[in-house]
Amino acid sequence: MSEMQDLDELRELLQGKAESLPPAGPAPRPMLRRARRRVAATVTTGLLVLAAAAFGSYAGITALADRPLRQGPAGRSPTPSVGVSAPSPSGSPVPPLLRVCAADDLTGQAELNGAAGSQVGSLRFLVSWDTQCSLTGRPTVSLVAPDGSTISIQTTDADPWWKMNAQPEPAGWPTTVVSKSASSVIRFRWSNGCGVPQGSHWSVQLRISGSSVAIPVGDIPGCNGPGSPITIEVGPFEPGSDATP
Amino acid sequence: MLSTTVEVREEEEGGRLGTLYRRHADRAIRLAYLLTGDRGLAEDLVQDAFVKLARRLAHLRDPDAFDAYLRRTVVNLANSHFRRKRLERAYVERLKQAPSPEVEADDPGMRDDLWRRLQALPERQRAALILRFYEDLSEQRIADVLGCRPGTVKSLLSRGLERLRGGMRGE
Repeated sequence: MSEMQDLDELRELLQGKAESLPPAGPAPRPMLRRARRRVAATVTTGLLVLAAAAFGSYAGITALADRPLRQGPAGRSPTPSVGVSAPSPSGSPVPPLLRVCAADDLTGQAELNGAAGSQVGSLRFLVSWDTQCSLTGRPTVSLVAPDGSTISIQTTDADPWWKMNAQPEPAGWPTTVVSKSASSVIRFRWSNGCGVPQGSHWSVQLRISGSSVAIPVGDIPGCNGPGSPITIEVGPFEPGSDATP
Repeated sequence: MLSTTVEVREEEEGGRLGTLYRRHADRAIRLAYLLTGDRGLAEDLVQDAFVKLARRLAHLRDPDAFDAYLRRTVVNLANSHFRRKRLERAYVERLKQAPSPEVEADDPGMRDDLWRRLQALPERQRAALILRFYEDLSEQRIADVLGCRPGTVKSLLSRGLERLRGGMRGE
């Protein structure tokens, strides 16, 4: 048998065998159902992966914001830089990538002057070790009882001191720099101290890092009447040197 | 050949898959049958291939490439089937210490000596011969389907034909 004959025979065999099969007909429903399930599973998996990636990114950024970039004294944990470019309160240039302050970097104190039913002044933030970092925007302030429970308060936004005092906008605002030589403040007003126990503290949550600075409330204003809400007014961070009255 | 133009239409995936099945299934089942020698298995493999390809339909940039994807998927699934079957056979043989037949005894192809010998070839040799002499693919395209070099395809074809001829001469 010649090679050509072999190949022809093979071709004919394959052709004949293939054509011996009946037509396939329409797509079987079970197959289409399987295909739809598979597509759905793929889409679901994709969405789950995206959600996990988004959550991971969020968690990563949050963790980075709280993680030290360089080791501070006594195990201090500074936060990383987040690309904030901010001049110092005095207007002098600062490094273009200044990291954001975390609670560990800061010490807070209430500088409030009492009146009958309210206290007015500032919450001041200083660095608690030799570092430099930035604060931006308006923090979230809550009132925490000594037992750790949160006391219900009503919060309204307040203008910064510089605006109140008709001063020019500080250089670099709304970002403020906190360092050994510069503090940052928020304008603060507290009205009605009904039912606030001694030993309570303000919990000032920083926006980017998410961590909170605890500041003892100090003197508690008088009670304006049972049932009156406890209210606070909170301004944004601003340079603390000469802005307060 | 499996080549047909696939119109990409804005249809539900199931509907689109159904259309593709009507256009391509016949050819694909025949290819799978030649590869496996079993009609039922061929239909199962082709359905599996369509299910596998369903999730890629949305990303199929070149609709004309569908038949190439389908062909490759059918060949891969057939190879996977034979791998699985080899493992199962080895396991059963260990248990029973008796060889199992190469091809199902009730397969009508058993009547034909050449067909039987084709089915008895190693699967890559058989696939290369079927793609060459049934699908009329070039060695380069066979190499693409089998995931090997054209030189390997040449060797697979040569050895496969040699074994077939040996059988036909009463080896």
